[in-house]
Amino acid sequence: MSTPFDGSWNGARSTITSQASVLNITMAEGRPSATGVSVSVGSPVIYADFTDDAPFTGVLSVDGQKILWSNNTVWSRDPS
Amino acid sequence: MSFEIATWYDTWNSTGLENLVQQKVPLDYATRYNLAFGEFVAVSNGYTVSLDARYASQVLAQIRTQAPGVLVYAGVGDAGLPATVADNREHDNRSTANIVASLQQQGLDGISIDSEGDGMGSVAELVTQLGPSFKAAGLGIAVSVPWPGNGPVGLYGENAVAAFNQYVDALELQDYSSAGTPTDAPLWVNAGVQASLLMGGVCTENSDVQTSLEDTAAWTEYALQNNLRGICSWRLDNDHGQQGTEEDVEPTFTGAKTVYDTVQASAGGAKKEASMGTPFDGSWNGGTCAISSQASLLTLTMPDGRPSATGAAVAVGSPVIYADFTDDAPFTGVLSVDGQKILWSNNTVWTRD
Repeated sequence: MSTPFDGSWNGARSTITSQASVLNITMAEGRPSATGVSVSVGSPVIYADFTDDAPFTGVLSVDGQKILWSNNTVWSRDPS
Repeated sequence: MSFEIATWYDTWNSTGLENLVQQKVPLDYATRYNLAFGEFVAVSNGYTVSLDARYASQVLAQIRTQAPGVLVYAGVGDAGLPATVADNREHDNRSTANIVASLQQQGLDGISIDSEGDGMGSVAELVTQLGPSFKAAGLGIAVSVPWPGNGPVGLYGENAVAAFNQYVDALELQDYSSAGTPTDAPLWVNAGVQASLLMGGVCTENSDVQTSLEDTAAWTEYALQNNLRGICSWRLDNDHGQQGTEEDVEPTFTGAKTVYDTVQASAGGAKKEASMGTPFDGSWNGGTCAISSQASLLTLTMPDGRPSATGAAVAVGSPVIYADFTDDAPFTGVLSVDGQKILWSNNTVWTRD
């Protein structure tokens, strides 16, 4: 079963796939993949460990098109 | 910040667990529980905190079920502490990341460091290593202080005062191993420690250092009147038992009740709420919105005649807020790592004042 975060983000620079609630986040530009989890706190919430940076938490926008991250960045979902 | 009541509960004794299962334990007397004890253990990539005493998971589950609003910290001692600090120093703080992940996976809210031996010289450096990541993750740090009459520098070294003021949420003075809260607390304040970090400490288990009920009330009252953070007791599972020093057998909980009743009766009979703040508490968006809390339950005051919203705060790595805006819809937000913004699921961003 997929999570609400699954898909391609930021012009295909990041891709999120899932196995149950455990996520794999493929990053572009040579960055290592990150792992994370998806939980529900009203809206879907993602917690991901970017091993070349730090762990961050994000919330999915109600329209499912953005992830608003705790490091103040925003990812936009690619058109399907 | 309101007055915090913390206590300890053991995780190694089946009687203590059975008392919980039978709902004999008044868990509403405290707002935070330290589980005794976990330890720092080696893993493949450094160190982490393990809370694997025989009944730890069951005790935690009982507290979570019966007292869902309280905080629960992992208590840790000296075991593995100096090695954890050394590993962090040599490997870019990797053990801190392990500890944060471990606490989150176990559903814990923080850590209480009860070092009374060879780890004491490493405590100030440990809290410095843990502090930023714990804050970002919404986790708390407490230090349980033995023999507080020796003062912070005497116990933990010259860097202790600055490290504690910057990174620690609570200093649980074990005043029953010194002269008492009215003597110990001023000593720590005079050393430069913020009074708002200090918690008085009483011993409620039957032993030669047990605090009398009279002193329990007096030290609690002192903490209230001098704006300390709160009071901590060792330990609820074994509180004034009816069978001497038989561990966890027929506790009466009169020590915890004395603390609780003193807090409730403070300020001339006015009820003083015993609760923790959340990382979301404060004024937002130029004073137009305010968030206040009672335990992890939030009230959001809104501008322009909008009704107040209610919500809850949880930790999912960073603090996460879920709030029901009754004139709009429920939304979820995440606190930025610097604590200055809430990024909401409706694509709005609140900025802290």
